[in-house]
Amino acid sequence: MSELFKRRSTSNENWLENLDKIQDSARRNYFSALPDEDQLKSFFSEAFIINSPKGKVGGDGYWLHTNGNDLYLALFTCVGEGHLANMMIRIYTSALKKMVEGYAIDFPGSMLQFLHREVVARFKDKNNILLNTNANVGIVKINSESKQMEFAGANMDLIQLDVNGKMKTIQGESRQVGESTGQIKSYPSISIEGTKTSSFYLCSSGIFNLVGGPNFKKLMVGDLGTFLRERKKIALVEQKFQLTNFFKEWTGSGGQNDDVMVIGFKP
Amino acid sequence: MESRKEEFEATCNLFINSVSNYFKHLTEIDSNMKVPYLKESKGLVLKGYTGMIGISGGRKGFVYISADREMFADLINMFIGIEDPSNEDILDMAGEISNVVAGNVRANLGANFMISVPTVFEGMPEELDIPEDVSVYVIPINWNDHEAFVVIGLD
Repeated sequence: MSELFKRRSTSNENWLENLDKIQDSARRNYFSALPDEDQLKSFFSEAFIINSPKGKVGGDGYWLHTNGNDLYLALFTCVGEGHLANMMIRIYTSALKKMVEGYAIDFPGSMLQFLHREVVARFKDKNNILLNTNANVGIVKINSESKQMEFAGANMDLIQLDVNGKMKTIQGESRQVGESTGQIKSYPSISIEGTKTSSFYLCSSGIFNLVGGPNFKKLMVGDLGTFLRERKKIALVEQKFQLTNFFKEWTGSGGQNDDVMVIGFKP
Repeated sequence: MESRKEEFEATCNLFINSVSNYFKHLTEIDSNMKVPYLKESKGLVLKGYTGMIGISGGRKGFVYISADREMFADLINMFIGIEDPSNEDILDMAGEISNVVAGNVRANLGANFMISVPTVFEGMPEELDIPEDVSVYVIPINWNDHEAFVVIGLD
């Protein structure tokens, strides 16, 4: 046991303010483990990330990787929230790192399949653990020159909005990564058309758990689509600002009830 | 004066019960509370990793749960099956238990109290200023052969 001695002339009135000044080490670790927004922006003509965990840390994460002209971007929402889900982010990130370092896997669907096998293998003998180890994951692969793009999703979709305001939801498989189904199914890689004239959005599952709005209901893809369509000509950096406010206004006094992560980009 | 004392004891009991229930229900291993004591000397009793919760409202102060790496590592192994947790995992586990305890206490305390989201740290942060006029109550707890402290300081 270590007994440390420290006593200052702190007024009790200021106690909570002082507590706020202490850097939360888990929060610092959470944010420092994720690539920063400038790194994301350097790969696209325009891009933004909104990362707003409900608590000090969250269960949403993202990952970037380049191989030649190909960029890989993954967003994952680990089941649960808070610190335990944050531990799962590290496990998912570590599996993705293992994949690119040790295996020549370059299709998003194959990447999801690899992730699934890794997670299932890691936890297959852990029958008594208290945490759900599944995650919703979306992976896109984009060639920086040709703008050719592919997407695969595990219980996560990709939203595409073209310059004319036409919105399309590119649907991923309904099965989460890590989910036991009794049989192994593949995650198809879907080729995306119109990449040079579109904006794309990957959203964490928590977005569609935000409760509020005029009828006090969960935010739907359609609500988000309407909001984005009305701002189709606005730069993504401004969209980020307005989208952040939109989420705050939607939840209102009820406050944010889930982790929120959105990545918007134009190839 | 008596009501303040009773309020202090009731608040302490809420935290003690919440920690005790956490171990009992989530790990199915009971924790044993050792003899609590009022800490009169200056300074704080800290283990390696701590989750600290601020209390404001009618009474001001703090509560923290502090334990060494080995206890949090055991919990991580039970919860997620990680046998070789990183330092980041240990800090998250300290945050997790503090969060659950804070949440339970928040639900049971009267409207006069507000409970902050826990702050997690390793060792003793330089910035940690402790108010001078608080009564610090230390509750040593033993769980699965690990010693932890629940420490409550209220004005």
